[in-house]
Amino acid sequence: MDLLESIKQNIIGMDKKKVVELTRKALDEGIKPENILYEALTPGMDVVGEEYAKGDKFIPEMLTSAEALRGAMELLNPILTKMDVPKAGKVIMGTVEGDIHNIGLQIVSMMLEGAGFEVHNLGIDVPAGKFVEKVKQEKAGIVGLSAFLSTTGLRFPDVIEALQEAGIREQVRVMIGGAAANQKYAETIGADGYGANASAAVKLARSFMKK
Amino acid sequence: MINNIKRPTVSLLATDFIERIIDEAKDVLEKVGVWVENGEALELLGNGGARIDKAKKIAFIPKTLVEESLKSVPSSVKFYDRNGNLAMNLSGDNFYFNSCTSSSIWDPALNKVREIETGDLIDIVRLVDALENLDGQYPSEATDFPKQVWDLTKLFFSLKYSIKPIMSSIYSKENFQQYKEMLIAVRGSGQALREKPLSNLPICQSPPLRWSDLVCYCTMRGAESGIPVLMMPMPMAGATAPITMAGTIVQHIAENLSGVVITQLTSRGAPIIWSGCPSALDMRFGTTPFGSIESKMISMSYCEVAKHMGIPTNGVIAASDAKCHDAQMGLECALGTVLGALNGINLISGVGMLNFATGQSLGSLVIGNAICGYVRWLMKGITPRGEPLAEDLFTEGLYEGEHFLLSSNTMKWFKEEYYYPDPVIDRQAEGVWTEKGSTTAEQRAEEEAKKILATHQPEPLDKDVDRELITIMTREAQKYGMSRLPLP
Repeated sequence: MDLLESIKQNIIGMDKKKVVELTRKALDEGIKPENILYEALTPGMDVVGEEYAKGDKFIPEMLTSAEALRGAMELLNPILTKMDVPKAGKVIMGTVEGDIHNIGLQIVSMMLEGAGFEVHNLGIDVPAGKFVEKVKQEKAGIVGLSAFLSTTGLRFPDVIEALQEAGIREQVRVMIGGAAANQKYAETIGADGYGANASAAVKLARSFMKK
Repeated sequence: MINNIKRPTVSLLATDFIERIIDEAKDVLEKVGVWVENGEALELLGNGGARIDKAKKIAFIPKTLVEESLKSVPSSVKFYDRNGNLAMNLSGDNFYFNSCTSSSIWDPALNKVREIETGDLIDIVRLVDALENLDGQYPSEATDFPKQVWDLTKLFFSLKYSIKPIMSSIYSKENFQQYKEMLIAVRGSGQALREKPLSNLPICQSPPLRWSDLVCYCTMRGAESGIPVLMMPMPMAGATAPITMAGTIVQHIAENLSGVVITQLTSRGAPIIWSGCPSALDMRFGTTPFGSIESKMISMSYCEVAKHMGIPTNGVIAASDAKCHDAQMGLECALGTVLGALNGINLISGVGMLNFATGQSLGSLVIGNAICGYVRWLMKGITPRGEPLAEDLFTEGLYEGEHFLLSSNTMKWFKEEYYYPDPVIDRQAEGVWTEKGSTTAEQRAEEEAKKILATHQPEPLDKDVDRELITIMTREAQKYGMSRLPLP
């Protein structure tokens, strides 16, 4: 088995230690970091995603694979940044102001990273202005908003408005998720999409990148 | 002669296991602490003897403070209906059935889930008012109102269209005042409301071990107003709580014990209800099934722990995750209500609840009501009646007629000993069933709901009170752009 295939298999096998070790070896052997990312890590994660969709893998297993991938990205990121290799895209993630629910945000962030996105997770209780600031700073293409409570679902439009006021609404796609969100509400408030779960969020983010 | 009737029971935890759980929960509060977003609550805990890490907003609560607080928790909480009559006494092994809150309703005519609007909410409240086995309203929100007042619509329509006690939460600090104002409008004064509670105030801590600003605020305002605070953390085992059921229970107990401390520091003797809405994250779909057997087991366990400490309990144990009132709904609701009653949970909530606590249907309420009827009967147990017990067997001439249909005992007991459910339960002969259209329980439940809604008139609200409630609701709706209430 060649090295890239071996990395891919260890992503599927959820072995972070092996993935990191083999990624280091691959770099030492002169394999290009973007090849490691796009020919080993991401395809490995795609297999995991397919197995999850079929019911053969469970969430903790999928997230452990994503965590293994994150380990490899820690080695690749500094080089990729220097080389200015385009990644799948930058996503700013956060739970809106007034809401301290965390778990959905974490799962979606990990899965997006697993799909090759560069994720900046601002955490919980994030004011609209902070999203705007980070989008500008990172020149991000996607904003992912989470809210759990009926009341904090009202904050989704606040963020969209703040992006408009800052004149950067056109450059980002806004996706919403969490118990306070649904497709109809996303359409009502002018968000670009709604993800019912982590895999849906990844699909949505990928569809944004294609457009 | 044996005359005592055994109360049927089921329990999951041995006494020493319960004590071990409580000890560990106290350990958690002392060593790990709880995160408290609200400054006033943090200060309250600090003044009460908790060690406060101000920067991190963590309160480390010593065991002595927990134990001291437990001493003043009332062992019973009574609710009175809109007319002021005693409707529930949550204590000991008493049990009552509560409907379910949700943001959506399954509409069989459209074959889809849709949002609840004013007309739906009024139908739901009226239906629950009519269903004889449902003791309380656990109302939903009217989503055609501005989002900022959704919480107030729950209370408003329940008060207007039903006399049953209510379980209704609020979604913003600003709305607590309006919530209390509506309850006082019915009772006449703050003191009268304190003496005869009409609604409990559910609050949801945010597992693991976190108290949001809003939840702290509601807890303190509820406690000082004498509105029973119902503490309902919703841990997800494996995601926001430890994966094992025992681990989740420890966390849950710690979360509620911290609530005991906050309420009792706010007002000694403040009535509380120990509750929760646990689930184990389904690791295949990332969903939070409240209908699962494990959710029901965790609910039973935390209620057993509360009973051990003499605190009234609620469990959202009747819930199902089916999307409509189908076989899954029936089995998950039946399992939950029967286990809850056997377990001695005082308030058994979520009857008719669907779709991960976001749904219900008129049919699911009717089916749930039928299930509760069965459970109520089960809980009566078997009574020794007569001496001898089978008196009719000892009657002279047994073998001459060989039936008991004309026995005076039959006439005396046939209604008292046996339950005759509403038509949702089919017990007709097959031929009759076929003749009447070969209906399923789902269809009969929908028919029954229609029939009830066509005829049931809730007891009208006092005209002055009604006017006052409408004034409050209109004033609040107008703040957010709704000029007229969409009343029928």
